[in-house]
Amino acid sequence: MGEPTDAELWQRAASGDSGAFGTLFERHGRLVYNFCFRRTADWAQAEELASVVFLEAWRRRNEVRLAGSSAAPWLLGVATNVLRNARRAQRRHRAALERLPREHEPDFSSDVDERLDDERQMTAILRVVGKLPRTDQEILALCAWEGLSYEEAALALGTPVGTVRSRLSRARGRLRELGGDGGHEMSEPDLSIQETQAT
Amino acid sequence: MTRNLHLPEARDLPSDRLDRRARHLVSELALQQAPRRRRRRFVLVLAPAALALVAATGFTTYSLLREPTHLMSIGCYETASESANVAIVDSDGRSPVETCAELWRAGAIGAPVPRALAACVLSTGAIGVFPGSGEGTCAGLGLADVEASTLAELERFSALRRAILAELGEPATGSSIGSSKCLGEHEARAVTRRALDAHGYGEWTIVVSGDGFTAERPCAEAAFDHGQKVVTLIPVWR
Repeated sequence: MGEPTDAELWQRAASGDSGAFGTLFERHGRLVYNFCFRRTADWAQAEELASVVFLEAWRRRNEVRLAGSSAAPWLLGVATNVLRNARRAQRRHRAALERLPREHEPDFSSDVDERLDDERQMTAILRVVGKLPRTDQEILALCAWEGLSYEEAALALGTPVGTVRSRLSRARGRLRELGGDGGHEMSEPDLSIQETQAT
Repeated sequence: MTRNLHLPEARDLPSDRLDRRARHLVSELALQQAPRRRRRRFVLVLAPAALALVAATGFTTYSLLREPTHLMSIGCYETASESANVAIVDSDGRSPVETCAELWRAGAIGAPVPRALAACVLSTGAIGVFPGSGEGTCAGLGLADVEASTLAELERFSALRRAILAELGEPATGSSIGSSKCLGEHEARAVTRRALDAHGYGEWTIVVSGDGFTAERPCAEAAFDHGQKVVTLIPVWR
């Protein structure tokens, strides 16, 4: 027998099977963790927010938004909502977060320098992307950075597909304008950005 | 000076930390379930009991829940089963069948597009739309058909939501959060009450969530509970 699908795990989770939900965490925790990092430019915060996302997803597990076989769009939709209201979400789950065993060793000792570089790089990207309207930033993150289809992003955000398409197009155009005097094209899929700095 | 910015590569949590997070999550979920266990058992046990009752008496359970209590969103099911994959979309006032048909046509649920869809009242009080022949589909699932009066209520409730969110902003989409709209409690209560009265929801109440409005959280977001007939004003940051 093969691995259970996300849909099967989700059904079990909705019936109260926390172990099934734990399996979903192991399957999608990395995706959510990296998504949260790309929206915050902070690995430590991303780790905590990833936990909050799954706690929040569990709280809302009966409002299933599972389209197709993967829970990823739904989880990234929950993550987007958590990131919009991070402080509120963290407060809601504060008691649970406080029960998490404290780490006794420094985080990521083997790649701490690389992670600091990541954070600097991401901060610079978010400085540019932050000039877009919030929803456009969210659509950009879901479609261009995480690779969701228009339909999946529409489901994640509860937004019509046409809106996703038009806003992504608008975001790309705006980023090209922000990219520098020459209006450099940005490469797909990561929409890397040419940042112009005062010298 | 220009410099290229590239999205950093995805990274893993170290495996011991991932395990620890997973274990913590599962233990927290078990903890959160404990107070609700009695209620959940009630649901799980009663449903088969009710079905047994149906078999014995010829009654149909769906007569127990003819009116949906949740009108904010609609579930579009991939197959004619309550355990099928489902896409839940916000209700925009159109008929649920129309809303889900659009999602099917967009390829967001599956293929091929069903020839007919049927809107039913789920045991949870929400509305589910299933592929099927239309008449008899809901009954076949032990559910009630969504009635014409519900469709009218969907449209009316959607108009109310639009009216209030037009004043307060629409946090669910995020499109208004960055706007200049920031209504404080007094003004938010006033516009909400006016909208409720104007749309025939005069009996609804307005409450403020949490610790109330403060200098740090001066702006109102609205949340709706159709079943309880309540609009909750949520104080949020500017």
